[in-house]
Amino acid sequence: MIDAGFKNQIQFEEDRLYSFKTEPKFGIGQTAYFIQTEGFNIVWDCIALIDDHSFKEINELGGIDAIAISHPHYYASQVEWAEKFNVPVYIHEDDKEWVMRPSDQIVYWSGESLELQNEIVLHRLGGHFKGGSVLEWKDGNDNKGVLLTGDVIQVVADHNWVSFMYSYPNLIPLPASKVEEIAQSVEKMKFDRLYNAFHNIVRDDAHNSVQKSAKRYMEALNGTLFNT
Amino acid sequence: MNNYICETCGVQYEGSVTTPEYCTICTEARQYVSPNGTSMDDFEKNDRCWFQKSNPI
Repeated sequence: MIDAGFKNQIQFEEDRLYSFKTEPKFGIGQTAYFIQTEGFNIVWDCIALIDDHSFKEINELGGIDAIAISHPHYYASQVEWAEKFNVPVYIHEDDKEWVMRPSDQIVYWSGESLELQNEIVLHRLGGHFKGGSVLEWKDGNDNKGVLLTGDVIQVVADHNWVSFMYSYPNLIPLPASKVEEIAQSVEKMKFDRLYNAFHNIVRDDAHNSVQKSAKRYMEALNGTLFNT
Repeated sequence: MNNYICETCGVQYEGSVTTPEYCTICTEARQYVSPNGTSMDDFEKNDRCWFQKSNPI
């Protein structure tokens, strides 16, 4: 990869939040995130490449204490990253079968939530993957909260809306009952902004966006949203 | 031993002497195998290996 000219680009997003991705696009082309909190910095989701430049830049931003991943499509080179920074990678145990490079650095968590630090909580939502998870950063965005979702919750073309799918490339939806369950879990979380894995952002009122999008999705699946 | 990376989904595999012939993540309904076939990359080098034969999956 390095010989082929791939490089990581790190970008400032908002106070204490950075994003990074590989250029030119490699693989799925996802964006990962780096959050600085009080005494605990975390990388959310992962990319395939770690180069000297990004290693150095992340260290200059305070280094990292942990990596957490939403679901298997972003496992990427998580073990390479974990070994390089000597930190654990948090993965929900329900997705263990999809880990292609096992490692002692991987910590399998279980249950519905895991508090990594008082402002950082992982929540399993399932849906796209059984162990599919989101990261609630309660103090981000001027204390209004941020939700990092990978594509367990997907920001769609209209950035005021989101969606939920079992398979995005093959367009296989989730059952309405599962989406309702996801919406109920998310309802309890504190956030006003939402970032997905493709650098698409619901900037404001994201909590409401998730609820109204879940409602629209369920109505579409149940045949009451339109008559075509 | 190389830790090969799938060029379609970017997942890295545990070390192997030979290049994995298919990607477990891509041969599943939530991802896809590239129409060009599976290709694996080396982390450091651009050691590209293409597999276009029909895999028994």
